[in-house]
Amino acid sequence: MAIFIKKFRITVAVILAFTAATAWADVVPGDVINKDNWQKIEGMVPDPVLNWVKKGDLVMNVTELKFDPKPYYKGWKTATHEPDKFNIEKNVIKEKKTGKYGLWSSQTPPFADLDANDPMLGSKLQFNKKFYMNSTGNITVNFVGYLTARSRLETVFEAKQMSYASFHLGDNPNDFSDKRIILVKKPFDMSGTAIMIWVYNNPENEDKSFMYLPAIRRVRRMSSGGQSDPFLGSDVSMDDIGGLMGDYRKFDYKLLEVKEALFPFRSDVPIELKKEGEGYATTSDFKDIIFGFKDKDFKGPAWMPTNISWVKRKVFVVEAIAKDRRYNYKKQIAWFDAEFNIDGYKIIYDRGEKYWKSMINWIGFYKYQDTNFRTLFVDGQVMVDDRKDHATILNSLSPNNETLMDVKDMNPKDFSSGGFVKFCR
Amino acid sequence: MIQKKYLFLVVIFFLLTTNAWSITLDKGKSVDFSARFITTNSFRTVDPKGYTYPAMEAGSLVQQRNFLQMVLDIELDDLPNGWGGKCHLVPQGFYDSIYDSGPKEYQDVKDSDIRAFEEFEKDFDLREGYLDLYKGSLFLRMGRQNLSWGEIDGGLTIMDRTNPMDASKGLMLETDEMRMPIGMIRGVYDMGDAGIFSALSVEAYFAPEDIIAPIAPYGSQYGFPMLAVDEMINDALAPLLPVVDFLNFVNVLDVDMNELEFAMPEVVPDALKDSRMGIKLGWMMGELGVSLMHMQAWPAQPTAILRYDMTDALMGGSIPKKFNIEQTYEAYQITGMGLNYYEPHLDCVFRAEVGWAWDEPVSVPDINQPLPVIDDSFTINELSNMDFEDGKMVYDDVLRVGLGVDKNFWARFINPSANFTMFFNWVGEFHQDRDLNYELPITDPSTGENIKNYPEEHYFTLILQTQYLSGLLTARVLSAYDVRGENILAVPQVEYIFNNFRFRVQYTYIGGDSLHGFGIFRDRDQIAFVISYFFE
Repeated sequence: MAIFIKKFRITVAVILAFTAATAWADVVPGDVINKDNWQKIEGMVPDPVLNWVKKGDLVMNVTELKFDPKPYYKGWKTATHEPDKFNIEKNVIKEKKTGKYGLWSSQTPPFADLDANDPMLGSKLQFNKKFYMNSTGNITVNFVGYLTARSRLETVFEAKQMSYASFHLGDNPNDFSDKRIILVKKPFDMSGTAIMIWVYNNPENEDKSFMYLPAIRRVRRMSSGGQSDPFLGSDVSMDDIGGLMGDYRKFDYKLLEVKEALFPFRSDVPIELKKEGEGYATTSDFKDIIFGFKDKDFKGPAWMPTNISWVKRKVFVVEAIAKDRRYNYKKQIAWFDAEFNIDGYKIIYDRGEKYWKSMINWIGFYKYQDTNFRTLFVDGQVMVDDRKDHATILNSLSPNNETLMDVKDMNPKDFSSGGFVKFCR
Repeated sequence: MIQKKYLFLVVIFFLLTTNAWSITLDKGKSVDFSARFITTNSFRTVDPKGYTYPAMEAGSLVQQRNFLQMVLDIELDDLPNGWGGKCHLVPQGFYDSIYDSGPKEYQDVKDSDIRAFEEFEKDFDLREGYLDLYKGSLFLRMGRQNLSWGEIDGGLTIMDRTNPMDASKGLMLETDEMRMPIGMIRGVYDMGDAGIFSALSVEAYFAPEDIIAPIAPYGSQYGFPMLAVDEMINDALAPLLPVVDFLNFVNVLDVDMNELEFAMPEVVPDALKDSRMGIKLGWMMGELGVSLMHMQAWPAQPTAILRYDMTDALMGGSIPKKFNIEQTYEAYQITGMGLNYYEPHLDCVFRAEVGWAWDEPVSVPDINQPLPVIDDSFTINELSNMDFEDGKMVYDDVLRVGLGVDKNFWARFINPSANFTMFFNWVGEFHQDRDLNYELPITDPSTGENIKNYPEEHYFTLILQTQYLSGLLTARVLSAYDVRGENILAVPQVEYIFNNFRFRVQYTYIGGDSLHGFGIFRDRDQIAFVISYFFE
């Protein structure tokens, strides 16, 4: 009997301990995670992000998505998914039937059914991500960048980016993947700077970059390398904008684990768009992200977003190792949402594989009334350099700056050498 | 008859008022206004090396310049028939207070020629003002604007000869501040792809406005080194009077010196056919960018042509009383090509440019400003038989070639957190007639001879830049080397960002004593403290 009681007590103790641990490592909508209860999210966010919570830099409001997100990422046109349409060879995607490079004429994500045991999972996630990020169609974004120290906002830059998603077209004789123009509007000393980038589907064709510099009144040809170099002196590089980016051929991807995580979203409800010409536009009727420098009551750092939504989601944790020794990052670890395959976190290690900086990307969902136009968008990110205690925020969507999506009447000639002239002072 | 320079305004007015276009402003942030204010205080860091007027010692304040620039951009919505448009206006002004409240030497300079310095020390103007219209493949820009062609920069120009450059207001001013917008009509047509040529486009401009770069007046901080005016006259006319001191001339010939008249009128082409104009064809072939250009340009500096006016001449009409040194601009043609290539393995951009100037006006003072030949046997009685021939323009074909390399690289021992950007250029200039005596019409005061130019010149420039403090601090150095004159120019600067302020310290060093190229300013080394504020 005594032995029975002892075993019973041990069993109860084990059960209680297990239950407590589970409760401690789980979160439910309505929870507010801060430095007093960070244990609840241990393992559910990357360690650097957990450290931010422990220090009191980040407070996370846990919620749930109050809508079905599937229509937003299963393919922005209702088209039948074609399984096995694409091949991946050395991290280059090709259409099996035609041999064409890139996501040629893809109307649905190229790898809709992902298997955690697939050794190519990391690469497939990147191609799916590219598809989803282009699912907004041609887009015009007015974004604002903030460079912040811990206690203050240092400088602000504003720019407009126009992206022409060539692979949605039928007629693409130069085999462009996409073309982009970035126009810097502020600060004054950089205002008028214009950058044009041509990206090709065929990886043998190097991207072409052109920059108009108002100081010399001329368009210069720019290097297409240096994608991991600081962009405009900030904490982000070109390959950071949008999360884990870059030339897929230059990385080895590996799945590290599959698990549940707290994933960042702009909001737990979709944002309503309005009709604008042949596309859609944001209104001024949605909440802006409030960063630390805008909230006088916030005790944390100036860069931290204080009102984004954190939702429990299944994620794939993927490691990307750079093969190019000139690339500034040796290792990057990205946490991809398992359903719509966009990364909400990116952790960066330097050439010596020492931890350097971390990024949070928050995703927004957008729709126009009850039509088929539904999309998701990486509408903001903050990159925190934990060595310098400094950060760069890129806020792509704001009630103060209109964003245009699925702009069918965007003029492709604007993205040519001759058309680019109109953006040059 | 509408003057040529107002032609562009007429064109804009015509376009805006026909067809009763309604222009909707500020629909969705269509109007954008910003402004900046810059104050620059510069101090000389070397003592004068002779013949620099006024002679300012090291430590002297030599510039107190205040500059305000406003930029207004207006998107034109709802233009008819699918046109898009934009209006861009840049009013700006400056005031250099040095001549009113600076060192006494500069106040005295202004007192010696109040009219010239009242004009020189301040200005307010609509610097740029143009209208953009675009539809499909066509783009038009009409109005006062800047345009730069070619691949080589860093202060060396081959095909970048459309806009005049004003170097009179400061040493190492920003290139864009020196570039003077001119009224022009410019069009670009995108032709897409044709065979092996991709991104084909054609561009053309016609600039009827006759703006020319001002010459810094005598005594300004950045004027050429020269003798005082009366010393210059004495020096110029001395060969005429080997036996009689010029100052006694008035006694010998009973002539009042004040009767002699010297003028320096500007002579600028006024026929429309002599306007600045050009055409460019550009395309890509793989990684290679190519442009072919042909333009009609005006020289950056005038040719000084001496013309004798025999009206009311002295000694019974033999000796001129009036001397006109006409600052003459004549249009000439340039044909050129530019290439750019991105090499991915080296991660470098290579640039090349070549320009052939046809019959470019060149400075040969022996022919431009001929003085009668005098030898030791000359006597004053022979003055009445002297032949005063007017000067003539001299023309030569000139080949200019340039190469450039751009490279980003890391030097982590100097900057562990940001890379360096490097721009390197070489330009060679080759005059085809090697027998001409190329000189500047400026006397080397130490020798009494004109400053020599050479039929072949080479220049190198190097710009290096990096950033610290997450982009808040920018360190930059521009350097140039004049091979012929063995002169070095080095301009290191640092700039710090604090909110809407920019604080910059810039040191200008000119090494070498040769009065050649930028060595002309050999004793103008300075340190400048610049504060900018952006209103936005």
